[in-house]
Amino acid sequence: MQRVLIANRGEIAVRVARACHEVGLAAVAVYSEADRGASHTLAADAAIPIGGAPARESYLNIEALLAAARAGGADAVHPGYGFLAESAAFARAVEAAGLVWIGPPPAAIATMGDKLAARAAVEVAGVPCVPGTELAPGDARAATRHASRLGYPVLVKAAAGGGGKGMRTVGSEAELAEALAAAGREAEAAFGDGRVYLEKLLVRPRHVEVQVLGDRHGTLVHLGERECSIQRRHQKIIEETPSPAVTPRVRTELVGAALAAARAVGYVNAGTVEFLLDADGRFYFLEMNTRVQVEHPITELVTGVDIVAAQLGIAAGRPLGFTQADVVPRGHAIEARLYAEDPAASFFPSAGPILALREPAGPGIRVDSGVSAGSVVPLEYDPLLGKISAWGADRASAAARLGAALRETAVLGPTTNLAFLQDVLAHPAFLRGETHTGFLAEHFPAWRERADDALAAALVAAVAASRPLATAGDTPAAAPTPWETLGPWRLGR
Amino acid sequence: MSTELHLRLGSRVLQVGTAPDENGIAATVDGSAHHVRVLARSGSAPVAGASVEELALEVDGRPHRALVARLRDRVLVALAGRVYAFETGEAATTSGDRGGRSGTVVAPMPGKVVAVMVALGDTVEAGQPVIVLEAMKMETTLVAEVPGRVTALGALAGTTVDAGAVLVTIAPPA
Repeated sequence: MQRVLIANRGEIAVRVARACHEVGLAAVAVYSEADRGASHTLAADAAIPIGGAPARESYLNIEALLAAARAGGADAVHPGYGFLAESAAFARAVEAAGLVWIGPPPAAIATMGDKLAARAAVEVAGVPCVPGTELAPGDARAATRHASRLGYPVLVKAAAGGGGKGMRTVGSEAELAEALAAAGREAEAAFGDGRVYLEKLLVRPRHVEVQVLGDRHGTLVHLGERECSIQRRHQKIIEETPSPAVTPRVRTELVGAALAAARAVGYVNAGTVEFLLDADGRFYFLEMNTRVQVEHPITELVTGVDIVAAQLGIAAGRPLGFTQADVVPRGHAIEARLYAEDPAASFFPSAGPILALREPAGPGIRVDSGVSAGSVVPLEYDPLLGKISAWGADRASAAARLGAALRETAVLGPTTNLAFLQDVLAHPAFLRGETHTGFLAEHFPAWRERADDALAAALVAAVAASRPLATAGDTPAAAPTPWETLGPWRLGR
Repeated sequence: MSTELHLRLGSRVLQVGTAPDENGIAATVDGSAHHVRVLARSGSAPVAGASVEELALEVDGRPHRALVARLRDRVLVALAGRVYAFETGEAATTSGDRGGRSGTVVAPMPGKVVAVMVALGDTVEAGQPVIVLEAMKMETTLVAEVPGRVTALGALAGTTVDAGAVLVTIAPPA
């Protein structure tokens, strides 16, 4: 294994390119027409165009990706997350082309990728599952019957799903038909598979997941849990490790169940077993994500294990090189996902050029960014700009550090959730660790951005407006204003 | 050398006056006096049609560090983890609350119309879903802001629309 094709874009493609370089591998990026010159293409040793802006023509186009691997001289493929990362067909095609697949065996992807097969596989291994049932397509009467047997509220989910796509909460029978139709449409569009199933909706559960890593030599370890309860549209925006709700006793059972689920499908490489945890410490298997997770940095911060580098080593056939006893988590880490979206308008995605960007820095701060000033956030993809994570000796100091880091961050151009993230982190219920998957709906039902520093901002705007607008031909400082030519400034006090 | 500027922030209009004095800038915001000193200022550079610069300044003795992007009729200021989008020029001086409810349902961004849930002549309630729009692989349901009768439909299911496109027009009950 010498040269890795990264079949992805954005911050995860940058992350994988960094890991490749750190372990002495070359990285080949791919890009669609919407991503020419994007950050991830600049992080690699070569960048190859793979097609049009719609993901189907590029990042979901298996033929184009394999052709890019050939053209770029790659001998391995890292899929990142999203797009084809959980496509068994892609994994098989990569292997059939004689390339190394940096991920789990295709059979494990296939089993875990089908929600129903996954439930069956892990139930046999003794892992508890949420009560639920498959739906025959178009049989509205059966759906109604199953839903009332489970008891409302119920959740409609895509059988092939993930990332909240094709998922709908249904509070009563009146909402069921529309939810089934919408979930089916979204699932068909996102996964090419419109099958859906029904699940009992647990009340105020926490989303808790366990990171596992397995090599081809029989070593399988866990790297502890992450709690990802702060979600909008069923997608996580703030994650932390350890979970404030997981006691040592629950942790022992939880990681045991995660390892059992992984073993049940012969899992190799990095994966995450997701659970819902109720107020009484009971947990239920949700799904297994057979790929690197968006939120992997926080586990890296507390364990010191480089999960992406481990993925590369495992794929190359090397032993993991450490055992469970070597994994000793330290402190607390929290990640905030910076999205181009408007939290004041149902988190609707925002797009367009990034005019200016400032990233935070300082002790315990980690930034995984996929954009830079001048880059364009395309309409076609998930609007994740990057992730800001903070490590602290305990939960309170990690939260304080992350809050300060977000306050230092600036993005001009698309609307982002930056201010919203700060308000969530500062919320008393968050600080008390009282998180659950309905947290945002409960505490932030109609969030509006506060204008705390409107006076100072208006004065900044006025000073900025005193200078003529720059044009493409300007060189910096070509247009001094009276404020700059008035004579010596007194700096300091 | 003094300047006057109207800056609209949401429904609020701030009137900002600036004039140089011996220590920096004497400023007024809606009539109240403030003192500003520019501590550092990067060269203004064009990025994607905007004029972008970094500014460090003191307002009444308190330091601030800001990123600013200026467009023809807008100034975006990133300050202390928040973004202030000011409208300038003529748009800023028009009074009235733009947050008011509207009889038109407008596409908030370019996307594909997945479903049109009303027909011409339908009577709708405020909050009733009327359009499902898909962008960035997410579906968003647009609702009627006012009750009334549907008098125009601007899009068919399956069509792609631009940001700002009027999708549904609702006439309030007489």
